[in-house]
Amino acid sequence: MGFRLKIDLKEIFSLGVIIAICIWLYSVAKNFPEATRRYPQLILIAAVVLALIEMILKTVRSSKADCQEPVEKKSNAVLIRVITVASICVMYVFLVDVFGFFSSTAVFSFALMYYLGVRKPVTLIAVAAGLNIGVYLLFVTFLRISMPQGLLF
Amino acid sequence: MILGIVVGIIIGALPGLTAVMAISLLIPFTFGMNPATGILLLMIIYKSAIYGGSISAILLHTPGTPASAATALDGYQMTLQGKASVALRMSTIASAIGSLLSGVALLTLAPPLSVFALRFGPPEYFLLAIFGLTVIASVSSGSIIKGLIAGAFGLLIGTVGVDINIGFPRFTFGLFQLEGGISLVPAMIGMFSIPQVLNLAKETLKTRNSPTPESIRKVKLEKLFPSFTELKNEFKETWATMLRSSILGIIVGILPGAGADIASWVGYNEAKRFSKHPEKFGKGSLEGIAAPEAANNAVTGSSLIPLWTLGIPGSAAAAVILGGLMIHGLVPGRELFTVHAHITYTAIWGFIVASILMGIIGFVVIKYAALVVNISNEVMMPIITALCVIGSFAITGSIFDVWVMIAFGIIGYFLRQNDFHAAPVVLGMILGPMAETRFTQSMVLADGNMLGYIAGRPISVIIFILIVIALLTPFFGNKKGRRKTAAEIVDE
Repeated sequence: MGFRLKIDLKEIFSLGVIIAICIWLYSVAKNFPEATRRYPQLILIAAVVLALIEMILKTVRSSKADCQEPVEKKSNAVLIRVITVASICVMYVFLVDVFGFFSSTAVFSFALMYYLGVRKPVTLIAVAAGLNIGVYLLFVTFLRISMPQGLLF
Repeated sequence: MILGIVVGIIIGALPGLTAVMAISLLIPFTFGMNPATGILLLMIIYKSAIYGGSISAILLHTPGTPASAATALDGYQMTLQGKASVALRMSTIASAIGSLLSGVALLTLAPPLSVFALRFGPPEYFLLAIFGLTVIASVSSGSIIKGLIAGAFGLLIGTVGVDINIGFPRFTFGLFQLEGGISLVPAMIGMFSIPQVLNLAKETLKTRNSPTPESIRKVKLEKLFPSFTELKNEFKETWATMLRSSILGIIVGILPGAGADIASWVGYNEAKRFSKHPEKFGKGSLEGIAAPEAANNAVTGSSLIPLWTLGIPGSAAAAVILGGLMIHGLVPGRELFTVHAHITYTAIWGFIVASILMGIIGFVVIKYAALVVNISNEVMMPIITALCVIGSFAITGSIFDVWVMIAFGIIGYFLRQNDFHAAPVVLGMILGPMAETRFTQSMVLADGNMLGYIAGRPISVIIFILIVIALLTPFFGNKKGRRKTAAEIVDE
């Protein structure tokens, strides 16, 4: 029974990214004065060492595994959905900055629900309006919290 | 108090929304409140959300929070047998009793333990910070090494901003907004809530392919309020289980790192072992509901004991509550029970009163919460995101904080996808500045020989040994056999 080195590419990639970021930050910290850089550099070294240990352990463990477990492949649909929703959220923050909270929230909730497959006009309008009214009553009127302002409202 | 209980129950009842997320979202709104009310609100949300999780566990076989996974076993069986009302009633009573006893434990055990904290100096506090991180790292992630990497990431984020010792800006990359450091609350909201939104986005694809049967979604709830005889019989059958599970829950809660989900399984297993009818477990046993619910709610108060006395959060929720304490300028330790005694005791007594209220309000809210669990993910997602924006903007009124929230949300999602948990990151951020200060002080006191200095301090040695134990325990645990996740046990 041979010992074949098996590499979990996803794990190696994520840990590799962490190590790369740590090395970059370590080089940034080199420009700090001695007293200031000691603590963050200690943390960065610890993180790199831990990531290397995890990398070795993962490789050894997956190589030892006799049977090849079927790797669950993520479908493109899931990836596209996550990226799109994340992008809509980023756009929302941008809109809040430019136009203000209430108008942006109405557009955002409508757009997000529509993208996710909600087609009933009543639901789309009720949630967009209800969310704004609820937030206004609870946070602005009752808790007196100020909302982000912009070109509109 | 009433609003907090209702909100907590509803959030807990919604599958996919956790108690930790609820607390992190609500922290900014406590900022304008007086500290006692703010802290009390967070504690109430915590316990109500843990209780609320049982509603969807019983009605939909989907635990609202991981702590209710054990409740789903017998609770859902009772729903299938047409006894959903009885199951919900039992979970309400058991949760209220567990929570009440937990509040009493917090009131009686925390003050004497805080006296012990007076013996701690800089090296002990530095080691305690490392111990807290080690413990959270070992229980929150599948791999302790990944948990420690996440903790290191949190500590590193804590170094961003002007170094208080010599006034030099670290890792600010020319952004003046970062000179004061990365705001804790927006980062916390982002780490816990945005990944949840993105996960719900994935769920929307699944639910379209496999819709929940209409029969499960439309459970009829009749006769929630029992007759006196019914109540007496149910209580007679379960009081010993509730008491035993509450005590177990309190003990598990005090242990750093364990949490409500572990407590509920411990309570369930012990109830089965002590029961006169163990064969009924898994088939709709009342004791099978009373035990996990009493145990998981008993954790909510007792997990605050190590947090308030030593600054070690017992769970992810407690770590977030620590963030809540700090934005009100409160630091764990003896001062909480002396200088700030009026705040601390108001919060504890409020917690005890709220436990009783939760039992009463629970009966009224269950019916509506059962309707709320049917709200679709498509509707929940914009609501959660909007609350994230409000929460991260509320404290300083800066849109930069909203960008911080989004950035940490996306980072949090990728960390979660690669099995790094958010709890050690947040705890690292909270403990980071304290750890650095104590580390620097210790180095000065130790005159460079840190290990020799620690070896001469008995409390430091004990904490050091505890750190080693916390680091090694998961490896021994793995050898004995991987601990089953709640979801796996429910599947069985």
